[in-house]
Amino acid sequence: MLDSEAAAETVPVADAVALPADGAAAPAAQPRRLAIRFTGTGREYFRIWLLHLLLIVLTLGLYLPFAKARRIRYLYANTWVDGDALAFHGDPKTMFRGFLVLVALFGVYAIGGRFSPLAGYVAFLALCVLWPALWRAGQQFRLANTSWRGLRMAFRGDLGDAYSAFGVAIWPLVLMIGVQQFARALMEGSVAISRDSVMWVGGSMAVVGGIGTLLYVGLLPLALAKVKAYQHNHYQLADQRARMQVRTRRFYGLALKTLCWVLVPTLLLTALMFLPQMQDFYRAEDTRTAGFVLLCVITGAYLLMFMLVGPFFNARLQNLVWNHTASEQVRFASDLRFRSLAWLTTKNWLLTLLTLGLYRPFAAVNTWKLRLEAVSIEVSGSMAGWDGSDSAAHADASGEAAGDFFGIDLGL
Amino acid sequence: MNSPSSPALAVQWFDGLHPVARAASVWFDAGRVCVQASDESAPRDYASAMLRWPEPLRQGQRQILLPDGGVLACPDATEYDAWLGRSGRRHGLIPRWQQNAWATLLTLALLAGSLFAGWRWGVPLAADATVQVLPQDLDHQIGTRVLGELDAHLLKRSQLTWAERNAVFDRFADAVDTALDNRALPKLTRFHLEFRDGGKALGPNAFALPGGTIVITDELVRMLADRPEAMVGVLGHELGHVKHRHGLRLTLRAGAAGLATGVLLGDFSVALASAPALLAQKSYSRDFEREADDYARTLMRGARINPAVMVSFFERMQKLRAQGDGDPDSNAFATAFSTHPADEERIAFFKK
Repeated sequence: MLDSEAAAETVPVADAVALPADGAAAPAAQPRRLAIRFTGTGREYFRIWLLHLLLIVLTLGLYLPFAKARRIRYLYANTWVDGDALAFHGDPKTMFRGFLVLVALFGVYAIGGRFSPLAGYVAFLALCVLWPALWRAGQQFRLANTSWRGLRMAFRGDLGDAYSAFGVAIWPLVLMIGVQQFARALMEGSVAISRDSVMWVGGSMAVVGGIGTLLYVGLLPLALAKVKAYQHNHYQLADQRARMQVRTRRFYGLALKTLCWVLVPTLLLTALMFLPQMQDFYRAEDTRTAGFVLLCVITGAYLLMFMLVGPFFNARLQNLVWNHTASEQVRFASDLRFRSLAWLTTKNWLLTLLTLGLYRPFAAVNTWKLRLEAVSIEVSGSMAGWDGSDSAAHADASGEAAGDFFGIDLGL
Repeated sequence: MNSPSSPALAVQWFDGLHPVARAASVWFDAGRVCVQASDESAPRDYASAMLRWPEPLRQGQRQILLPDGGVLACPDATEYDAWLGRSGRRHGLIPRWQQNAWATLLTLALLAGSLFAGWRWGVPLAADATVQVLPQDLDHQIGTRVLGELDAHLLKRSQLTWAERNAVFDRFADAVDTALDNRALPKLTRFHLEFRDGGKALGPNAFALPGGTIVITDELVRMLADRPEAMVGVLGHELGHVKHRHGLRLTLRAGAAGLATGVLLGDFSVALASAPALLAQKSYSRDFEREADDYARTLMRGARINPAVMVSFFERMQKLRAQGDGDPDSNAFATAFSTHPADEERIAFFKK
């Protein structure tokens, strides 16, 4: 079922390569490679970050959107594409409005859940229903306020597509919570059915819930493929409209490989704990030391997993989506090495822990640099004719802040 | 070209329509900013306040953002900074603050100070003020719900006889009455005792739920069967939690601390952000335990009971823990992760 669906929504990658390069406009022109350079430094960003932190604390969080606007401006002014930096035009006052809307929304969700589970679920459902619209607004706002050489970018995805892209992730979740709530009501006896059928209905609901959870996990790569396709198919700069062509099964391949990275350390550790030599160790008099060693091993494995699994997934996902994103004249390529990202992540984690968080801005800058400079852009033909007069109208900023709340990565 | 009234800067002008740089110059003219493209006859001018100015970054591009969507890019950062100075203008306060090393050190000190103050006074004040406004009825609702869930998963019906239960209740109610008569306690805090079998998981235990319900395990009643006055102390401690609405206050304080650390550190690592939040919660919890101990001691003195009887309770609990998993940790490190103050501290408190 998944395969036929995948075939319907994507075309083979080879077709993407054969995109015409603006006909005969530039006959013998070799595609020109635009280098991406990131010149931000940890030292400089540390000062910005520190002052932002102080102002956020002193204003009880109200400075957050202003800090965010300044942070994006810093990142953009240091992101050079072919000798010119990006510019961020977002108005912090607009972002402040969006920020207030989100605080109200998440506040109701957080506080409601503390005092009544039902209120929490209702707020969660409302959030699920609003999420695609918020996310789309965030993309629109960010891109409409990003310019390069004066040309504004744009996000052209419409609302209906946003809902169908996120539907795969959201509707099963809503359904599962509904079933769970109904089962709960049954067990507590607030829904009246005969006493004999309670066990039967409850049992079958548990089975359905279990299968549903497994199915949902199986759907996640498809959900990711849908969202990434929605995102990358609607980027626009002047008349260059991006297209992403990746088969859904490549997302499944990525998910399976990532799963291997989770399973291998887990299995190794389990095997280690059942070694005959270890059995003597457990029986030793000094149970406290044994327990401590065991705790260290488990914590170490846990950290190791996060230092390997996260970077593996992030590096491969970035390469997968950007290597298959192209417009008529522009092609992207991403060569982010898993090894570099894993090493950097490990270093960042350790130093951030050792410095009680003060290394964080250095970590952030180093990660941006690695991820950005792994991407290159090829342009065929002339850019001089690109027309940006159709630039997007400004969208509301509430979605922009939502993306940050949930840590949604905007890719580039 | 017109002759500018103040020094001009050579820039690249992107008009927002085509990705092509046009040579231009820019200068200040009173409250306005003039931009003269080399291929246009007259300069355009904008109100200075409508423009977005670049900050003094080391490597980043100096960009002036025009209200019409255009961008002025300055190829040379030092030239831009010099031009700004010659025009009698400066970078904004925040960028200048950032550039100064001493100011950055001051920022660090202020940040550490305000984080400490927020943890020590800010969060408690805000959370406690909120609890003052919340109706007492809410405590009851939460307490009833929590007891329902505990009964479903953790607690079993008490095996004690009614005579045993009534003895515990009578002794405690009698102590509370005496303390009220002696004006040691200002007014009666309503309470309600629930007896449950806690099994191995809970052992000898007592805890207060929001709204005044105090749950006592059979194991605790048996452990203190020969020390009814120590039982008054334990129940007095729990009544202290009820009186000061510690349940609700801790929920709100922990929530606020979690929110704050989440905002400050959450985008780096949720796991890392939860560590300080957890430490803060434990420290608030220990504050409340001390307050509850204080209430218990006042109640005992008011009921003419020597608070030192609590020593036997702590000793028995320590012995029980020693049987369970090695000797009890009582160093400062363990205290930081514990919800209660160290036993030594509490024993000393009740002996005083």
